[in-house]
Amino acid sequence: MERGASTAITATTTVTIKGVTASSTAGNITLTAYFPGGEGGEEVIAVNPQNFSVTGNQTPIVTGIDPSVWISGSTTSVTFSGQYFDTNSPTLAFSPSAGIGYTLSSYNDSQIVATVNVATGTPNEDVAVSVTNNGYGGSAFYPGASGASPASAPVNARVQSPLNTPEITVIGWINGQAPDIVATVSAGPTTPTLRTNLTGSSLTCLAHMLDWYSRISSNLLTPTDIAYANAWLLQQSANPAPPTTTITPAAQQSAGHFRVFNDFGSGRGFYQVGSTPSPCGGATASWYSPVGNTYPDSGPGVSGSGEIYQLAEGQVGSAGQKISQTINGRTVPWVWSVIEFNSSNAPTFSQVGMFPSYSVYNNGNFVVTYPQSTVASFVLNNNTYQLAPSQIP
Amino acid sequence: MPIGRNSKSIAVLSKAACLLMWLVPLAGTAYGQEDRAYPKPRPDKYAYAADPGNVPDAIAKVKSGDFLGVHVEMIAAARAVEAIPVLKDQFLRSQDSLDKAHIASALVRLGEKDDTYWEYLVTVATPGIDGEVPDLFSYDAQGKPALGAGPSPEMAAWAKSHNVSLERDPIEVMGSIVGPVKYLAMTGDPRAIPLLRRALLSPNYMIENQAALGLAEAQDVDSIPLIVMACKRAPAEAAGLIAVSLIYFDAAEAQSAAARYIAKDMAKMYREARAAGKTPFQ
Repeated sequence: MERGASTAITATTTVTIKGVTASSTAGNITLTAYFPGGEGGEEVIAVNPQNFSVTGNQTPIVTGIDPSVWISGSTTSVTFSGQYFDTNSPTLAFSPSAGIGYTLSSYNDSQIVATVNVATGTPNEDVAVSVTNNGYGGSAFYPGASGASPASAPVNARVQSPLNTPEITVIGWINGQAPDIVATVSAGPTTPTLRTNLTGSSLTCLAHMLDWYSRISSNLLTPTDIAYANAWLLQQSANPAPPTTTITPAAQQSAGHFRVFNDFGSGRGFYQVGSTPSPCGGATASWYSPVGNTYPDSGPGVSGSGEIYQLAEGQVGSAGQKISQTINGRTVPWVWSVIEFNSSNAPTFSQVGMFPSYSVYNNGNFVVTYPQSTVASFVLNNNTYQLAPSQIP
Repeated sequence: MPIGRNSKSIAVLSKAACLLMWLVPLAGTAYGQEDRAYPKPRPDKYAYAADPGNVPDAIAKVKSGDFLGVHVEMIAAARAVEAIPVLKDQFLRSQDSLDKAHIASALVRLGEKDDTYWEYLVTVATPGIDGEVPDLFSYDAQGKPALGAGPSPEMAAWAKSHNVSLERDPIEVMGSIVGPVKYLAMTGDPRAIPLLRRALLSPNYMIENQAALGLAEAQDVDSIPLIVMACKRAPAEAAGLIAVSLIYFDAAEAQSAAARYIAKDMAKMYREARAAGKTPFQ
């Protein structure tokens, strides 16, 4: 019951009165409310004291932290579950606290959602988390005290650091010169006006994209037309091949020539879903390249086997999805890369989607390129072709 | 089938293009007929959406509520009037204005007389027709879009004033504006003619293009001079796009203007496609 509120009390009513202290006398219970700034008052409630217990300000209780493993060098949305968090911006405390910060996203009496940032370089360690409540409805607690409750009993989270690992970089890029793409584009469509419109001018191409965006399958009459449309679009929106020597990961990322970028290890963690260069002459115009759609569960985590990983996963943006759905008659599959470190800090990076191509670097040195599947086999999938964190071994 | 490059192969292909049209029922056919026969799907020969054998699957998907826009278009293209009740149901359920407009367009094309669908189409297309939406691009001295220059200053200002982000997905922005105009234009309904004539005055060439194609779909020969004027006002590359609509008119005035604004080889290809049965929105 909040200050100023009222409720009917019966023999079985449990009432929690917040923001007050209480004392009782025979036959009656006297509640004395203390308000910030010295305002006060009394109220007499005619109930039998045997049936009435008064609990004062409750100490918070933390019952759950999800996720409970945080990766150093990353930002994680964390949900804290429990009781008596109250409604006045509860306070989180961490011990040890070095390198760990937070911003409240939402909170109520039983749940706090906060963005927890763990600085790069924070070591592997258990972190005791406690919550202090700061009152209800804009009111703090008993004057003269801090206005806050005692801190909850601590519950542990864990910081995992890829600090002593190599820095692994995986660049997912579309190889427009893949043999199947080159052969399909070279063979051409069955329907001549398909090629005429796509290649005639940037405006005839855009108009055709808007047809497909609008669910009109113009000039797509045969399987050959479908194959040509897919191959042509990918060829025209392909990415330059990343170097097969050495890279500076940050420079590669800022150049933007990728569909998915995953960088993890040596105290760093960064991922990004790339944009799709417009096939209608947009390869040289970044503003004309729609941003891709990032899978919400992308980011760092701990696998079922206890290894730390970073998942980077995405798909083409909204308009591209509509265009692809018109061409292929199905939703759009995802692309992904997982970088994982075991307890000995040894990396694995071979868990990638079947498309596009993925080039891997260890401390900036080229390791391997996993070639992309054929376009034909990729577009047989739909948006259930996806990697969930629970599938990471 | 070998890949065709000549008019003979185009003619052969047009049979595939027109396969859906064999399903066209006689005018006034009552919907609700459950015993309509469709051929077996031929995935080896036809794309899914062009295969008349897949129309029952498209109807079933729309009925289930788990469908894509391409299924709606397959129903409309096949004149599958028995699907009108399920389209009406999905029109009521749809929360996406573009999907709703697409369904409304399909219902109008299927001959549904309830004005609800026509009126909805007009409502959602009006911002594109009368909204003075600028063109996405600036144009260079040769009349080509200056892609490297970013969006046109007019479009950038429009986007800002309408709280629209061009940075994230300019195609999405354009599609959401042009799409409803396209759905209106595709109906070929005479009621659309005055609206499409107004759309020919839009500063956005993608909207003008849809309007011109819609007037061609309606075979409104009185609009030919207006389409030619639109070509005359437009930069060269945009004029070439708008002029494609003129291919679908038999009038000499239309054909000569098409020859003036469309590159010769492209015009030849479009004419051959029309001769083989292609229509403005097919």
